[in-house]
Amino acid sequence: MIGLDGKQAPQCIVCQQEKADGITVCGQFICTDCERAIVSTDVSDVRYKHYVDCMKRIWWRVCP
Amino acid sequence: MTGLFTLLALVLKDVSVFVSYVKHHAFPQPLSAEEEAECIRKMQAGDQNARNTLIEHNLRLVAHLAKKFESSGEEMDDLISIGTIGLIKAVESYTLDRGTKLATFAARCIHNEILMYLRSTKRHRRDASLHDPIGVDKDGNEMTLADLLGSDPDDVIHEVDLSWEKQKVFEHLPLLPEREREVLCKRFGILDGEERTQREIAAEMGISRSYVSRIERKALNKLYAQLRSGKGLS
Repeated sequence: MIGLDGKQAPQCIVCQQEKADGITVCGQFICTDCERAIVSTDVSDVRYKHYVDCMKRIWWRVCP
Repeated sequence: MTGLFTLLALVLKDVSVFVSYVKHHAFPQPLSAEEEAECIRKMQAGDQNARNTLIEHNLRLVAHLAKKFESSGEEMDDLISIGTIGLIKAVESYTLDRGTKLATFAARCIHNEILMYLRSTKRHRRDASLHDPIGVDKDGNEMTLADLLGSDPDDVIHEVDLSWEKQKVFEHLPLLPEREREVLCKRFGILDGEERTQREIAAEMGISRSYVSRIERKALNKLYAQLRSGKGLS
């Protein structure tokens, strides 16, 4: 997927899809949809553990 | 096979980078008060990069707070990820008019996020039912926690030992002088199952509590010596 700036859209570390909007932390991209899902998911929800696992990727890379 | 080694090398590289990251504190330095205020203003105006910067430059806080929960039994990388979620929530909901610094507000959010997670996992651990299936036996029948309780081999051995010791005590009791036998029977509820205090026994027998204590000690010493030697009482 090509963004408005002509660059390849980054791949979300949670849903693995290429999206234009989201946050980039230490080079790891989280799309807006997933970010909203992460912050609104209760800690006791089964999806929470999945999000926690995905977030580990942020810490597996040295910040640029 | 080569693919496996490549995959393994990649995983090890990732893990070592993570460990080194935490160990050497290779985090972006915290922003100055002016830089932070500028980023917050930009973020509130819709600047995504400003939000990214605020999150990245507060990751040090996540590592610091996660370390405080090291003894919780959770994996450190899980705690750091949970803390990161808390940090994202903090940055999303922070506004300059909150009256506190972003770091103070974020620290509270990170702390709360980790605490909520730990409480949630503890609640789940406590909620195990006695009738939850925990596996199958050799015949393929489902087994529950209740099936296993009370059938621990150690429990069985303990029961057998206790029963054997009781038998030995009953054999030796009649050999004790009557007064000593009466004190032990009343003290440990041997005949009626009702244990009495030395004071209660003293009142029943019309003697002092200290005398009951001396009789009890003497009787127990005799029993102990005889049970150890396996001989009759003298």
